[in-house]
Amino acid sequence: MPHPYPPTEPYQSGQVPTTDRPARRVIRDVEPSAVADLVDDAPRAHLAFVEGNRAEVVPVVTRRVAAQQLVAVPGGARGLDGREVHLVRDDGQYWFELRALAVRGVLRAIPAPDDSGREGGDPLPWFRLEPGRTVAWDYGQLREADDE
Amino acid sequence: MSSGPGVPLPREGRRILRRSWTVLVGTASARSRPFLTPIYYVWCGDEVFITTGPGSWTGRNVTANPHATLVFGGERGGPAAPRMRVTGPARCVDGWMPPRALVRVALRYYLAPRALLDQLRHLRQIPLRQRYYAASRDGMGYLVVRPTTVELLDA
Repeated sequence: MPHPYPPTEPYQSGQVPTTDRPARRVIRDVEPSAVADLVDDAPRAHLAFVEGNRAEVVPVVTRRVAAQQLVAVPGGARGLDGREVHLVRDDGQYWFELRALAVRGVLRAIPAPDDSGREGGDPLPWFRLEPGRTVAWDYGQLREADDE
Repeated sequence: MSSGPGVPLPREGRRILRRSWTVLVGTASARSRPFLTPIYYVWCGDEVFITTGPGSWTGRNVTANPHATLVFGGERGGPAAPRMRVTGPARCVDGWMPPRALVRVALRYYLAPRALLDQLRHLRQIPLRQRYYAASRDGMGYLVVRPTTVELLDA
């Protein structure tokens, strides 16, 4: 029976058996370059980190300078230097519109980049993200995998 | 802003929910690693039903560490857009959502005019979508979060 509702998070699976030929995986993942617009201009960007064995989630400002991904935390979360984080930039409302870029990495505190200040507000703490595993998806590109 | 079981939502919070289509679900793994992903949801009474099952990363994290942090809103308007952060105990449930939640999911994400238009534009991919979900190893399921704190976020 098909799913009546669409989880937007992928399951870690899977091949669908058929009778006449090997099944091909159906995938939604794309190369990060396919959603590169989310790096520069994501409708929303959030960061998760673990505090006291619980996930904290904060909205962030992101910027790309050369090949570096920079992150500012408007809420002023403390102690993020050197912490493992999961950064997600996403877009879309309906099923085939949903896209995202998720990067796991470690934050390193840096001086604020040029023109990054807030007029009349406190300066934001800025970090450079040392990227680890990166996953990008676009449900509008749902397709059979080419590698099988 | 407020806390306690069955927290009442502020007016601004209800407004954010109306405009929020995917909730960002933050969880921690058994090894205390953070994980964040946007997922469909419906808020029914004192519970938030989230459309991901036990086989997903989020589902496995909740099984190991039954707590979630949710952020609603911000889909439009950049960092300054209003958001609401909710925390609470979470649990993973096998099987179908309760009918009251299932109907709301269907109405909001499948049967709304723009949802229908979205699917119409991707008719050729509908069978792929069915295969994509049919391939889940652990079957159907969903997540339930019972909010205990609600906080409006200032940009």
